[in-house]
Formats: sequence, structure tokens, C-alpha cells
Amino acid sequence: MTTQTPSVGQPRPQIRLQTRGAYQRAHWLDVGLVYLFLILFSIFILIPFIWPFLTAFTNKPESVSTLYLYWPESFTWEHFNNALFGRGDALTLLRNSILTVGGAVLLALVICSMGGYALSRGRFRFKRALMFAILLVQIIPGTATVLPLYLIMRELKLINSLVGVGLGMAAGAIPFMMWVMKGFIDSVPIELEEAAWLDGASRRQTLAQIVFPLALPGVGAAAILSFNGAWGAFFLPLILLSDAKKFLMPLGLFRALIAYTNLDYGMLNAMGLLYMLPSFLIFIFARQYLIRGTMAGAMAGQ
Amino acid sequence: MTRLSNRSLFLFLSPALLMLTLFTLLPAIWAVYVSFTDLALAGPKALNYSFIGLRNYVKLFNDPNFHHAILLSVEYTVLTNIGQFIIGLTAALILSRRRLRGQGFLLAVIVLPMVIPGIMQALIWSSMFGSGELGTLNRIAGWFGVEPVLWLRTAPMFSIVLVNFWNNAGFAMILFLAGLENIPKEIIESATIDGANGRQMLTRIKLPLIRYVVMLWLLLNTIGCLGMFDLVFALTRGGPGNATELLGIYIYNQGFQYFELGYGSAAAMIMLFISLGFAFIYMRLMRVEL
Repeated sequence: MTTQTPSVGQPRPQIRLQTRGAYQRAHWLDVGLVYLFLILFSIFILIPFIWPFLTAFTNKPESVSTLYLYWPESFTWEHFNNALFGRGDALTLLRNSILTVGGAVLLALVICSMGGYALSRGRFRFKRALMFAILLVQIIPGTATVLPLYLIMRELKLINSLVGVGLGMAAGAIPFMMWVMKGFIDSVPIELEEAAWLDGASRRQTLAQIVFPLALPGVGAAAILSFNGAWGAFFLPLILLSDAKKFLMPLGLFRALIAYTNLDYGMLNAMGLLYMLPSFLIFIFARQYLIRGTMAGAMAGQ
Repeated sequence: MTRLSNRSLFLFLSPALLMLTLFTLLPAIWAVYVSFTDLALAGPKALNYSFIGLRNYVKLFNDPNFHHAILLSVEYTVLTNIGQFIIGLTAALILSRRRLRGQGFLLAVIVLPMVIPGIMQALIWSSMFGSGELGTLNRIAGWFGVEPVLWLRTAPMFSIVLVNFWNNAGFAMILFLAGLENIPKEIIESATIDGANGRQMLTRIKLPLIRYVVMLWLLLNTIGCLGMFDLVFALTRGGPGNATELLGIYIYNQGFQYFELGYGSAAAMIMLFISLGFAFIYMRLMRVEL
């Protein structure tokens, strides 16, 4: 996916999926062609999704391979059964993934709330340089630093440990999240805090009772975006984990994909659908955040 | 109390700085050092490694496989950018002219692959690329009388570019669309009153006004393509042979297949410098001031 980058120092541009404004009345043929294009494009997007749903939920006829599309014989939960409680061991994989990614997102949230507050309210000499550096870290692809990251993890005795993967994921989420949090805390007027201080509240109290409740939508958006990133992370678990009991979902899927000959795609796709469930939920309920977050980095020029 | 004291400022920032130093800055600095050594992942060189100066870099510049990896990454980046730019911009120009019923829904469908993890993209496309006449893509091609193709064997580069297109083209489209719709209506209207025709409107008004959006998208996409690993690795593992061994996969292979951490780090440094170059241009365009 495109790197997510926060906008810098400028008002967030308005982004809508719906078009607006004045439009000339178009010729019906013109409109028809646009519809044709959009529908063909949508079909192209959706076709690849038929296979995982088909093979995960149905029995195939004897003669065909599950790698291909087929006319289903009957509906079945068997593949999910195999995936969760049988050979797929998806329960362990899911538990590892949820714990690691959840822990990483929580850690990043706490760290970035504090850091974002300091960046928003503090005035210090190298602030812009620091923010510039944080953004630079965000843009550099992780692929370029992954070998030395492995060495650091080895020194810290974090190889083959979910803590190591979680820390790596949190570090990966921090730059983007810091920017987002700073932006949202900027939008909470300092006067609100000052009024509370006059009433005798401490900085910690105003932080917990005024700033964060007001910045909560931003916290939610940042959490969803970084969850999505960490949930899909593959490279980090691939190099750090070797013990199958500690595999995360993407690693388990990858091992299954390359390990077996005569692969049971029904089970594999059942695992895949379980893995993609959060992605689909994010798509349905938080698509706008995701699009806006990804877009901000490219829209700031306007 | 309006000013954060230096102490609390430091306290608030230190966890973030610690994490970034430990897991980002330190690895990068360490990589510079390791790239001048013959450190290995296992074997005698894992413990008794030594400083070998620029030898890794000299070896890289004479390594045909490294040249191949760089060229593949460039090819992948260029093809990906061109395809997505043309379709994305065309679609955005058509769509920005009018509002259609159901357009929002169709656009949402088109950006769906954005949320799909790389490994799942690889899995579901392994069926699309299935060999023989039963493979999904081959079936569709068959309707048009095309003979079955061994996609991942005979056209591996086309295949991985196609999956990236499926993944990201919709995003380019709605991004350009948003850029076009952010052009103030007054500008379009006054250009119309001044008698601009369709082509002039496009080349003199619309394209210049969205050039920043396009440039920033181009840079982000380019950096993303240079760093590409998961999707291509899971789909082809760099194969067949080394036909899709992009830079990221080459680095991984040096480190974890051949255990040459020093040599792999040198390759990673080159990738880091190329990405840093693009990142600096990107940030200049974003108008980040120091």
C-alpha cells in the first residue's frame, strides 16, 4: 500500500467520494460509457474475491482442483472447522496476531499521545527539525533497514519473540501516529486547558479530562490506521519468528502456501477470510479515515 | 503554566524518541557500519568478522545480479506508475465532470483492495494466475480466443505489475478526482467565459492545478515500489529464476538465504540512499520548512 503520510502545516483538504458542483447535462451515451467503465473496473476488482469465498464455504466436485473456480456441490463449514481446530491452527495464529498487533497499537497510542501533546504544546528549538526527521522516517521503506533491525533485535534477545515483533510494529507506527495526534491536539484550544488550570487542575488532569476526550476521534482514526498497517505486516514477522507456535497470521498463511504440495485451498482460504475479517470491517466502517489518511500525504500541495 | 517545562517536555517525548532511536535510527547507523564488514548471519564470520572497507560496495557494483535487481525495481516502478497514472487520470477527468447515481458506491468498490494485506493479495491472485485453461485469468482470456498463458512463468513482471494495479489504481483515481474537485469552480468558469476549449482547459488549467497532487502521488508510489517486498515475495519468491527478484527481495536473499549480512547491508544502504533522495524531493514539494 502507499505510504501513509500526514499533511504538513496546512488545513486538511476536503476529500469526498461523491462529486459535487455545477455539471453540464451530459449526453446519455456519454453517461453510459462512464457507467460501463466504472462497472467493468468494479468487476475487475471483485473477480479475485470470488475464489476465496467459494473455496472456503463450499465443497468442490471430486474431479477439480481447488486452485480453480468450480460449481459448488454444497455449502460447508468444514473448511473453517479445519482452519480453526484442525491442521490450520488458526486459533493460535489469530491469538498471536491479536495480542501482538493489539499490544503494538496500544503502546504506540500511549507513546504518541504523550509525544503528540509535547509537539503540539511545547515550544523548543529543534521542533521543526524533529518533526521533519519523524516524517522522513515514515517515508523510508522498512525494507531498507530490515537487516540491521534484525541485528538490533538479536542483541536485545528479541528474536523469535512476539514482544520483539510488537515493539518493531509499534516503532513502525509511531511516526505517522505522532503527526496525526499532534494535528488533533492542535485543534483542541489551549484556552480550555488554561481555564482548568486557573481552577486548580494539574497538567495531568487537563490532559486526561479535557485534551484526550476532545481529541478522541483523532485517537480512534490513528488507532485504526496503525492497526491496519500492523495487521498486514509480513516482513518483520518473517525475519524475526522461526517457531511455528509464535507465528502470526500472515506468516502462518505464507508457510502453508509454500509448504504443502497438493494444498488444501479450502482450509487456506478459510484462514485467509478470518485474517481479512478486520480488513473488511475497516473497509466498511472506517474507509473514509483510511482514504483521508493515505491521501493527506499527497494532497498537501494544493 | 502555558509553557511546558523542559523537564515535562522531555518526559513526554522520551518514550517516542527512545523507540525511534532504538528501532529506526540505530539500525540505520548500524547498517552503515555493517556494510563495511564481512559479518555473516551464521558460520565463522558471524563472530569473527572484520572490517573490509569498501569491498562490499565494489563487489556490488560488479554483481550482475544486483544490477538485475536494480533494473527490475526500476522497470516495476515505471510500469506501475505509468499504468496507474493513465487509468487514474483518465477516470478522474471523466468522473469529475458529472455526478452519477451510484458513483460513490462504485468508487468504494474500486478502492477495496487498499485494505487487503499483501500476503492475501498474493494468495487470491495465485488462483487468478492459475495455469492451464481453468485458471481464472486464462478463462477470461479464453472468451476472447487467447490461448492459456503460464502467467507467473512467461510474464512474471506483467503479473506483479497487474496485481499492484489492482491494489492501487483505484486510489490514484480517487486521489486525482479529489484534486480536480478542489479546483475552485470560479477558475473553471472564468476560463470557460474566456473561451477555453476542452484541450486548453485540460493542459492549461486542470493539469497545472493538480500537478502537486500528481507529483506527491508519484513520489510516494515510487518509494513504495522501491521498497516492495511482501506481495511479490509471497507470489513468486523472486522467481522464476530471478525474474522478479526486486531490490527488496535481493536484500532479503543476501541476508537470510546466503547469510551475508555485510553484503546485504551494503545493498540496503544503496536502497536507503535512493529512497532518501526521493523522500527529500517529496518533502520539498510538501513545503516542509526546517
